[in-house]
Amino acid sequence: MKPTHSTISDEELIVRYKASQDNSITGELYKRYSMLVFGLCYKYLKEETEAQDAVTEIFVLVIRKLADHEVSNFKSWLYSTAKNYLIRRQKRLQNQPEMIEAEKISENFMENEPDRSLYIREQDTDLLQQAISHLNDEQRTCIELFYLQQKPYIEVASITGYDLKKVKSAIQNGKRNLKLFMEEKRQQHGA
Amino acid sequence: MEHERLKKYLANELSPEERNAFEQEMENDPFLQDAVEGLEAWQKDKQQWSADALETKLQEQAHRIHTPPRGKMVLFNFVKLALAASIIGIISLLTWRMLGNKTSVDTQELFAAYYQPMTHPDATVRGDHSKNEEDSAIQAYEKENYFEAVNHYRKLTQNHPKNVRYQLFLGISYLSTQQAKKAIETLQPIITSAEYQDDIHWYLAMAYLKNKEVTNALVHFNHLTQTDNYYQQQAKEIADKLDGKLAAN
Repeated sequence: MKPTHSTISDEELIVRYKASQDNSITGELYKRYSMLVFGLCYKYLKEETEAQDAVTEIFVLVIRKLADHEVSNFKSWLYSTAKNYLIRRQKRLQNQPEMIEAEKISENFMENEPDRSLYIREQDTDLLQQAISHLNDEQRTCIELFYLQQKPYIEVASITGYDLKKVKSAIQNGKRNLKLFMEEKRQQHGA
Repeated sequence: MEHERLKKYLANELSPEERNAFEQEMENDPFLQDAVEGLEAWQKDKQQWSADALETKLQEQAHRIHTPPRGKMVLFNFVKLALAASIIGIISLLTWRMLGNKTSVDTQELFAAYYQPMTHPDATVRGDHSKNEEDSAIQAYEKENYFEAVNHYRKLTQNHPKNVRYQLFLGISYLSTQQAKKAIETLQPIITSAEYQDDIHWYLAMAYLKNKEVTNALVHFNHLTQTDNYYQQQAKEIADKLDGKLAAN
């Protein structure tokens, strides 16, 4: 019977690839993630052909690296590999002296690291309510609509009259402020 | 599957609840967030969205990916797939040409040459309830942000199903994002409307043209050639070309 990879987890695929070097397995990983990688590349390169080339080069790199890397979470590993590739590519293109862009990319990536502050314990609910009430109007409205009323960005924009960019930024900044507020309160109470 | 949800999200095919769930995931998944941001920028730059076309492009270049253990280039199985696909493609193309049907290329060329979204008329009569939504729709439309316009006009048509103008601009917004089928589904039901009659015939004809339904497109182009209207001359030019093409077959 013809083997199928589509229902197997990424990590299991990698185990099988390491054992068999079967290229159809890396083909499955490419199928799963090439569009995400393209999106990432386009975000930073802003040019379609360059982004497509970068996708190819990133997967070549990933497949080479798979041989001697222990990968426990393929998606995260692919993301950091792709980010590092894009930073190196930027440096290479600018022939080193212009580091600003690469740093800018790096900063953007840092800003986009997952924010786990909203994974809260149940007993923190009151603290969270308190934190929300301390946000400015813009951030509080967006956070409440997005997380509590579960409205998509476009509806939050429509209700508030803000543009999409402002909504996303208010949610991002609101989350950061919630995190800071809660950390501060926990420290004060020795929690 | 995440991949399918991503495509649906970008094509505006998720319900508001599903969109919010997807966006909450994005807030905790920087990879997904960056990717969506990039894909949305790509959509905007291209002024069209075809997940299938992007997938095909990416799959076509998959053959360039290879692993070089011990200096040897091992090609992906994609090469075999790509070769098989190319052969099938060549055979299909030959068959197509042998049958003398060249309309598929021409319809797209004609569409590109003649299609232009309609200028939005000033909307002065608005109910209080729909004011914000309509303003946002017009603003998005005028800024040529047709994906956003689709979102707003979809809501407006849901709330005001009898409003022909909303249907018309939803149809045009669909067509401007290369969603010809949806444009047809939106415009066909209002074809008998007295309001915006010529515009509806024109954009429905263009949607059929884009969707390679030449006979259906001709019905509406011919209709426009019969009376004195803004589209008459262009409709006549396209109808002549399509008639010639059909006659040649």
